[in-house]
Amino acid sequence: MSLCLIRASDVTCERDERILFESLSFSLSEGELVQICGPNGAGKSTLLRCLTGLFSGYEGQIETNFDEGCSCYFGHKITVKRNLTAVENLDIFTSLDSEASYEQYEQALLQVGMAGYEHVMCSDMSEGQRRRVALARVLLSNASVYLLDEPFASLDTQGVSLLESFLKEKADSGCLVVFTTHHQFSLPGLRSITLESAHD
Amino acid sequence: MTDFQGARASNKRELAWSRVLYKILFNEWRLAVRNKQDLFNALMFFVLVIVLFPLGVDPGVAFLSKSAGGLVWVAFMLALMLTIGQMFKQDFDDGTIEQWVLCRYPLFSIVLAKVFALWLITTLPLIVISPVLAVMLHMSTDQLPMLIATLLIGTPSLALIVSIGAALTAGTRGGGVLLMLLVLPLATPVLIFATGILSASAGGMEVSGLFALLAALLALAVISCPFAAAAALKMSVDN
Repeated sequence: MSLCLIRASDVTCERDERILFESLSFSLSEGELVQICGPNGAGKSTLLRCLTGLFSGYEGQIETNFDEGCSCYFGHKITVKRNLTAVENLDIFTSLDSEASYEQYEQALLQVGMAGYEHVMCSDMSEGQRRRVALARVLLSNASVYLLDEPFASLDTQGVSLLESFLKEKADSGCLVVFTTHHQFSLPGLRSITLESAHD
Repeated sequence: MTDFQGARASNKRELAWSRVLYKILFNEWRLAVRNKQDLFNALMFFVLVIVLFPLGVDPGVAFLSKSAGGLVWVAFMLALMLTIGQMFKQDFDDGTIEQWVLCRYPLFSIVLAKVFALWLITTLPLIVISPVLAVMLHMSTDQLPMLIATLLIGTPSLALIVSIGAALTAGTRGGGVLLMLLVLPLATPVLIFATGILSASAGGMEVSGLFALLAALLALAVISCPFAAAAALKMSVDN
């Protein structure tokens, strides 16, 4: 019997007089790997923000069944401060979630292919490299629910396969992983929630 | 079959709350040191207003010594709005506020830590330099400890009040005027009591009552402003 972590009942969201999604009902349980699919503007990011609790402008009910602070959210804003180095960024944001050592920061940066950039200012990095630093934060997280908005964007093939295996590993260890992406995956056990185009 | 009974408990190692607040304080210091321009902007604004004022109005001793306290306070208040008024802009743009809202630590405590850090970094240098500028405005040296005392008690209240405006305007473009409109009515009592203390003490009157009122405003600001700013931050990310 798996524990249900998020339950959405009859969720409808309207933005600028356009209905993004209507009467959406689903339950997400631990150990699930869920991809939210849909064309641009279908409301994938909005649905993810609804699930995190950051956006409250929807009708219906979303119940969450995990402690506050047990979720890891990776949004459009990638949470990397440009005036800090990669390690300093990991330190300040990981401390909000859990405790990690310098070696763990180094290991996480190595995993995302950013070894050697530990003390480089993020303002001197490319957008793709900054996203990798942000992903290192996700790797360091001990959350039980991962809500990731376009985590595969700006990643090369190696980065995509690394993240894929990380997400699979997290789901296998009992975490709930929900992500939005336009990439097509053939991961075993992947569940899809498809949103139609927004309409008036 | 799924079970919705019994919330998933956390089993991770957490940092002590005080340690997280220390990290926020240290981080603000680090960012301020790397972004010296912002620090100097406030300092230069403060110094320039006070230096130029006598040139534009009346450089006479009688006029300046009477208006020195008020002038230092008004310049201080505007300099504070310039720096602390923008305190959440960067955090909003890079998504830090979203992470604060989602983390397990109370948002009001993070706001309080950030305001305290910014007060230490941006306001203390102004307090240190203000006696020099006050002397330049012919303020009597007996009055200087009083000026510093009003600034030490009054400016934390101002910083906390301005943080509410900063939180409300974090997600808006060019919210400078809006910030002034929101914050000035709340900040004016602090200015009135502080300058009241200075003119009362210059007239040889007892000022302990007025000091108590200024301290009461600080106590009120500490227990109410971080909650208001936290609520405003939650609103700013809710879109």
